[in-house]
Amino acid sequence: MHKSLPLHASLAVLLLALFAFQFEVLQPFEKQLFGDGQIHFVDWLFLPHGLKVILVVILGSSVLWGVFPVQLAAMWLFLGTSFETALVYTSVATSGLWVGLALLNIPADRPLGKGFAGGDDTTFRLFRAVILIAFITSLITGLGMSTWYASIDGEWVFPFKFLIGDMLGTLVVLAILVAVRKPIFNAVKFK
Amino acid sequence: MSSLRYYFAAFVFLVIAFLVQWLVVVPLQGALFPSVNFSLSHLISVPFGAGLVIVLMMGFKGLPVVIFGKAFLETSLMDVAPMEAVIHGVHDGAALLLALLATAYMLRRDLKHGLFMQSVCASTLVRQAFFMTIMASLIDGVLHASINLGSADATLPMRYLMSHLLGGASLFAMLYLLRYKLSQWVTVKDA
Repeated sequence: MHKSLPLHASLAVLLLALFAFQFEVLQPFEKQLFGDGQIHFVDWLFLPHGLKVILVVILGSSVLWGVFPVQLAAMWLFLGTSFETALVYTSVATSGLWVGLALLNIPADRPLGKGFAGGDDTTFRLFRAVILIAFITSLITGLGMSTWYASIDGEWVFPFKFLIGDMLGTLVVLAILVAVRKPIFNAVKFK
Repeated sequence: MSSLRYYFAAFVFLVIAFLVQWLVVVPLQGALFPSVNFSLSHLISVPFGAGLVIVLMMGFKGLPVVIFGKAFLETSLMDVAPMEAVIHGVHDGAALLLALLATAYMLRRDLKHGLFMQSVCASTLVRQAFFMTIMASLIDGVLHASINLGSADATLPMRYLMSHLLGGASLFAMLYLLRYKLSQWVTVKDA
């Protein structure tokens, strides 16, 4: 068994739990607070985006193999969308994460799928990488899903709404992780 | 005086881009896809690529040329209403500024002088230009799609993205083809 498999599996479970929290707890709360509106399509605070981005920044593109099925299952099971919508969202969001990671690696002439945590590369700071990958991914997700919802559900969702929800979610998760970083760093023996 | 010369050169470059768009791209896309309505989004946005080159060269100082130049040229060459042309110019300016901010944030570059003046070799410049092209295309795609949402069919956000990506890609291809020449210029500047 590959030595990083248990780590990836536990992170996938963590992401699935966060999706469950998002769709079962946070989304109903948002609906109560702001009314139904378009919250079924886009949240004002989307926490899983933050966790996905942080995982990709730390571990690189290898983590996407776990992120893809978790997102698919979460959208389909917890949110109750059609399988097609779940598949499109998962594909767009996962490819957005990869594009974001690759775009940050290209100017530094690094391997496209390499994360920013390991090694002695000090060119990038983790915070910068997280913010930029979150931004790029949410732009891609916003454009892709806005097109999809307009063509399938006839619902015009502003792409900027995705940007707000994703960036707020990233900042919240990042703030929580910064607050509890020491135990996590010790757990993964992070340099 | 010399900075006025730069502004004039940038404006001439923008005029050339608009002429290419007006005389080559517009008739060509009409001939190739006669049933498609290109009034909101062209197949390739060459002026957007030109705006990217200007901002790459001049930094944020190039933004007034992009905003006012685009507004003026759209009104005079493409029969766009003045107010609408100003809004288009502001879109492009905002997208380029955000992309420049993202690039400067990632690479810790000075915003005032543009990436061209701060690159140590042509390959770095081309990679940075690639990053900025994708960023600006995504941001401009989201901006345009958000403002014109619902005014065309569901594919509008993706058409905007495609148009700007192709416009930016034409710039990127030009820079790539000129990389040896750029290397000479950059080396001379460094020396």
